[in-house]
Amino acid sequence: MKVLVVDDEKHIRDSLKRFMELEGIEVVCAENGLSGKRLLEREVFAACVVDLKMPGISGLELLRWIRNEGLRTPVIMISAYGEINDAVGAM
Amino acid sequence: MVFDIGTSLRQDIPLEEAVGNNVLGFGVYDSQGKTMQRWGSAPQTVPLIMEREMWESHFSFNKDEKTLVLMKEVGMHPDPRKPPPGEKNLLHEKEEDFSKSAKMPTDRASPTFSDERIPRHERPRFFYLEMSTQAYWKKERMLSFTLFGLLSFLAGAMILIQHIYKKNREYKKKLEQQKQLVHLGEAARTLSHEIKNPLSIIRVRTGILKKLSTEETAEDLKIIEEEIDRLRLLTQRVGEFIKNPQGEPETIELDQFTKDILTRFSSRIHYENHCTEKCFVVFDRERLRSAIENLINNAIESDLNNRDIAVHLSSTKDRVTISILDNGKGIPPEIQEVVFDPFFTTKTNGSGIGLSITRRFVEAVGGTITLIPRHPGGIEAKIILRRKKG
Repeated sequence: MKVLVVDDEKHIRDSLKRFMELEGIEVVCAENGLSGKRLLEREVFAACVVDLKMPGISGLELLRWIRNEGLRTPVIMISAYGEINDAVGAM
Repeated sequence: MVFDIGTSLRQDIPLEEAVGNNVLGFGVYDSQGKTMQRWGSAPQTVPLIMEREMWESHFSFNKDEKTLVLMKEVGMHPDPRKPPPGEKNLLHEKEEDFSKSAKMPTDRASPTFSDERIPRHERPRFFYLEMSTQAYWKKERMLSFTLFGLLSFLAGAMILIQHIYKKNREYKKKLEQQKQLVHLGEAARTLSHEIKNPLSIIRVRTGILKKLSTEETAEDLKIIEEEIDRLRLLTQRVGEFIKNPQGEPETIELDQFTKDILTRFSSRIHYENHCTEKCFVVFDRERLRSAIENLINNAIESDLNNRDIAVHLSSTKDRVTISILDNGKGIPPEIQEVVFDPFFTTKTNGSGIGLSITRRFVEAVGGTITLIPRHPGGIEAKIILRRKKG
């Protein structure tokens, strides 16, 4: 199983990668929304873990693009803000 | 009132014209007490037996103070009991000696007749004047009333100014506090966000370490996790404090709601519902829960002897009261003013955010929260909310 992690914070990317690898999950990381988009165009992932707020293409914009492209990949949004409104917007 | 009796006598001007409207009677009498001129209520003759008393007091009010009577003997020293040095006491002099005494030094205010055209024995000796004091008292009353009105107005204006000044000061203080809260909120929001990211990383890395750990390090990692959770809770509560405190209000039936909350606490909390019928309030469910739980936790933490805590529900026609009563250490008077301030705490591990959040939530729906000291110790935390008709 291959998972895409998109987050602009290196430590969060690395931590998630290391944690999931211990569970036997293959992880590919992208440092921003644009890199994530390019990876999604090339490869198929079992799931995406996407940070909500990123410079450039935000997590929400990336999610909208994924759905517009007709990709059925499950997306997990993560945010340090923890705002209900953002979560509702993401759904 | 000024009138010229001498002119009236000499020029045959009617006395009533000379004396004015307030004079009820006026009389001029000779040395025998017989009338020379008389008008109105003035007596036919001067009662000579009163002569001595008249010296005692020239002016006298009648019983109901509606009139003032002036009786004056002229051409003599005003107080014969105290004659000038070397003179005899006039009270013991004979009638004819009075003309001599007229030449003695006299009080300047005392009227004398010096018109030589009038024979000495025909000269007026006594004056009688009776005046109505009603106009005077009316004026006096008017003046008193005006003064009273003016003083009342001034006192009212003073109180009003003081009240406005006090309100203005309170308003400025509140405004300043709100400004500080806004700045504090902004700072807390930034800080909270900045803390959450590294905290998430620490949490994930701790999870990794936990997976790889041996039994020796497991206990240390557990403590690290607990502390991380404490920090996460703090950032979460700061977030709640910053957010719109009204939340999403809904109608809540308080009896069942309170019972549900209490199931999460130990059995040493005694609940009593004194309401005669179901009580409803409008509040965000999560925030009311948070407010009540905060107060119960404070009550539990304040009593090191673990004595019982009581939760009472009571109501009036349009208010509902939730009281949490403990037997703890109470709040020292010197910190009563600041216990609701954000980040003020007396607890070793407290964040100081609980009471300020509770007050913010309660006040946002028009309620009040007070902490009342109990005898011999402890606090009654009282939330009063508007009651909604069921």
